[in-house]
Amino acid sequence: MKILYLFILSTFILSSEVHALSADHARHFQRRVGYHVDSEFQKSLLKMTNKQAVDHVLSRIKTTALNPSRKWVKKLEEIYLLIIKAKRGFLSKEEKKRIPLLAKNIIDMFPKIPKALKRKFNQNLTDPKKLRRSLNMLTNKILSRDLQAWWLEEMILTDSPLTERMTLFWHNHFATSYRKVKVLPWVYKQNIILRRHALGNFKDLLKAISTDAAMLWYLDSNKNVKDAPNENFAREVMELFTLGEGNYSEKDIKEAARAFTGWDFDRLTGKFILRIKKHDTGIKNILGRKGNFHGDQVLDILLKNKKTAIFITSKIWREFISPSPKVDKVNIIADKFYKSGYEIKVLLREIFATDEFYSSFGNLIKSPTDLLIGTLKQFNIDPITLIPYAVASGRLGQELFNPPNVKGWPGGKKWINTATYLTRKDILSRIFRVGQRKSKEKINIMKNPMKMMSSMSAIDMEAWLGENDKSSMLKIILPIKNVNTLKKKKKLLAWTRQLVLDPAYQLR
Amino acid sequence: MKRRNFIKFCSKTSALSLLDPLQFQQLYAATSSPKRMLILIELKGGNDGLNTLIPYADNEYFKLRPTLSIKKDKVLKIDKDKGLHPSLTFLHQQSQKKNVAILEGIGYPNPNLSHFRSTDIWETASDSHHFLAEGWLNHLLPKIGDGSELIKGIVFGENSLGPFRGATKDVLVMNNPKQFLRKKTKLETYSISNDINKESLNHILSVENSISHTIEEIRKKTLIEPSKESRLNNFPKHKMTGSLNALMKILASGHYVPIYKISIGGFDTHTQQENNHQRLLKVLDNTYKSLYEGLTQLGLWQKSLIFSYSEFGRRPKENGSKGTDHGTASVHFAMGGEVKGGFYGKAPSLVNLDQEFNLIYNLDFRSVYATIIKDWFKIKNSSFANKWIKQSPKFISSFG
Repeated sequence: MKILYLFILSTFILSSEVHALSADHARHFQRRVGYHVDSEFQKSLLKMTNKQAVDHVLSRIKTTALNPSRKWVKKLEEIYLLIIKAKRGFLSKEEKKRIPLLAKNIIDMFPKIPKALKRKFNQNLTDPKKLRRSLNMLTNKILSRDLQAWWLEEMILTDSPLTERMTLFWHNHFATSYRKVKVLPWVYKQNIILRRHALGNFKDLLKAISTDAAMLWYLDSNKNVKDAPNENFAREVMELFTLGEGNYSEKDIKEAARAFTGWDFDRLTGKFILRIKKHDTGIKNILGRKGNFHGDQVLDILLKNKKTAIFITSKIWREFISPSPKVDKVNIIADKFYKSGYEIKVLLREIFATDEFYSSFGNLIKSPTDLLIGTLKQFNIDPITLIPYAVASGRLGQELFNPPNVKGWPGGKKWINTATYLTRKDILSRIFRVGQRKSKEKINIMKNPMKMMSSMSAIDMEAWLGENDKSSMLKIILPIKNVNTLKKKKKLLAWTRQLVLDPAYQLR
Repeated sequence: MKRRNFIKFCSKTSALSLLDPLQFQQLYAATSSPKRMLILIELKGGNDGLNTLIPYADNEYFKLRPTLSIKKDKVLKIDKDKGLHPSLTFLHQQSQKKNVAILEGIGYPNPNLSHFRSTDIWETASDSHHFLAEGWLNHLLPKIGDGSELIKGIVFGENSLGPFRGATKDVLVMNNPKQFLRKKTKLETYSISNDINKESLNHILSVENSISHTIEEIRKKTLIEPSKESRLNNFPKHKMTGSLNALMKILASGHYVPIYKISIGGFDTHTQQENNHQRLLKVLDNTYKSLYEGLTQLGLWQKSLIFSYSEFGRRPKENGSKGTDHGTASVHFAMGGEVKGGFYGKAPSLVNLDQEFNLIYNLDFRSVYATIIKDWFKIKNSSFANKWIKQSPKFISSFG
């Protein structure tokens, strides 16, 4: 009897592809391709097979952001351009007058900027060198947060959450930080590139990013010249972008660095240029191949190596299935990815078709953005600004556009340590605070952004629950069974609060 | 300090409450294990070494610092060449008693001038061009302590693990210690399965266990008297008060934690350095003083090593805004029961500068770490320490 039961069960699992998704599987699918469980989408998923569900999502992928860019981005870009012109000594009189005007325009977009900061900024409007320092200050304190909020808004607004997931995945893969790049319009442009290729072709993505201004600057390409090659980019492109550690030698790096010499970008337009005079045209010996390679050909050599497909596939596995990739399965999937010519959709289709994907309920730890955006979306919370959430994400170890170093965020279990775990609980308690809320006026968002969380987000749990009962709600909120014993609570909000504070809520 | 004074000190700091000092000494002396402690003080932003230990006999110093130099007659002189900033009265008094190791010219090759990157380098003990994910203290965690410790390390006053980065459960971070110890957040203790399909959940549960156990123990044994906390007039109220209080509270409750870290921010003195630096060094001096007094009263001074450090020093030549820009090598201090006072390393030349006109280091910070690992914690099998020990400054007395 038991054997028969197991037999039926296993045939059911094996043939799950032709059956419609179960409710549990559909919710699981939603959590992995998006940030939360949407009840409308859930209804349509229940009519689909797993393949149809994947097709459904992949055929609706967006490649651009819905959220219009911040108005200051263009103005800031113009200022930087004028500063460079000034430095090179061909700034016209009109242009010179335009700099303080643009700067004032930007400052005026943030009425709540602390007065001291504003004063400091206004002092330095005429001297281009000092202005640069002021812009850095403004970038670090105000604009970077606003850009982070812009991205978080997109994560909420989008009807293609997988696009945002993958954009963040690639941001982590091709890590660059505004703290080094400093020029936020370049950082913004890189984000646009990442989104455009997020589910496109990895070869195109690699080439676009390798010639992107922010990346060239971040990895010191401007210092990589014929007479004194800088290995930074050559090393990271092999170790972190393509082959993975251990699949190349130090000699390969040295040779590849020579091929990338002269790679730079025009400071005025941000466009890639090859500085011929600084490029080493000699013969290079890279991964067993010999030739007068230039950088683009090195990228092709790296892509021709199957290790690249395996490296990316393992990383995607850790993002979508579990922290421990199965080597044999990874190799099979990587092979298909490789043969497709690095089509990212092919890779994801294979990932979503594995048995492991459907048997990994709640075996991934939510990243800070998963936790924050997931919570806002799941409970229909619509804060007036996402700045507090941008700050919170940073406190939890994921400041967008500022990964800790070239390796990106380690992620997985590393998201949760004794510090971040308590902060996670603290933030959730703030959002789900039961009882009196302070009035909005009292809190200065610039000074104490996190405090705003509890005051601005009123949650109407009764409306949210609607006709559903608590047990179906439990299944939506938690990916696995609650760990703590649930207590009876009079207020629905208090009852929900114990769910979001349960360890299981940290999982997806 | 007499017992009466000790109790006065306790009630002033509120940290030690009304417990008997002898009690602590017995508590700590009872076991034969060394129960050694390391207290790290990070000076965030890059402390100006040249105005901390002043080469007042060198004319070059006064040339480089036309407005920022400390006048000869103000310098707290240690010998005929060098002296301390006037704010460092306690450290000066102690260095005259040969209780302070003054480590000169600490830095590393190919210095990085970014706060973030240089902090990374100090915290992971990496080379300038390498990126390591784990803090330098992490590989020591299993080797430090005697099994009786509450937790391996506590970081006060910030939300980052710093030199413990990458550690998930052996280290506690108390961003706001006062709030932390009173925190109402309800934490549980869980039993954990070894189901591989639950590895993420198990990780979370073990982190929560580690926090709840530690907090519970501290709360249980610590007499929290919130009413007294407002009466902090022993040391001036500054950013450190909360951290020092919490640290003392934990020590006073008889708990053993091998490594503590506290930090003082604001050392990035690009502009108007004079007053700011004077104030910051006073905070540093007071921190050393408070720790010295508190630890001595608890009978723990012999078991303690305090080391203060910063991601870099500052440029020898002052800038145009009465400040100094990011630099490289700097001077750092160590104090403790087994510290042999005096100068270690070598003062960097003020004439032979690097390409960015910064000081050239003489003592690699990793060799100081090696001293801490081998000579203080007596860990023999650390490959890292073995690599660096040859050049390491011997400021720990060998009969400890």
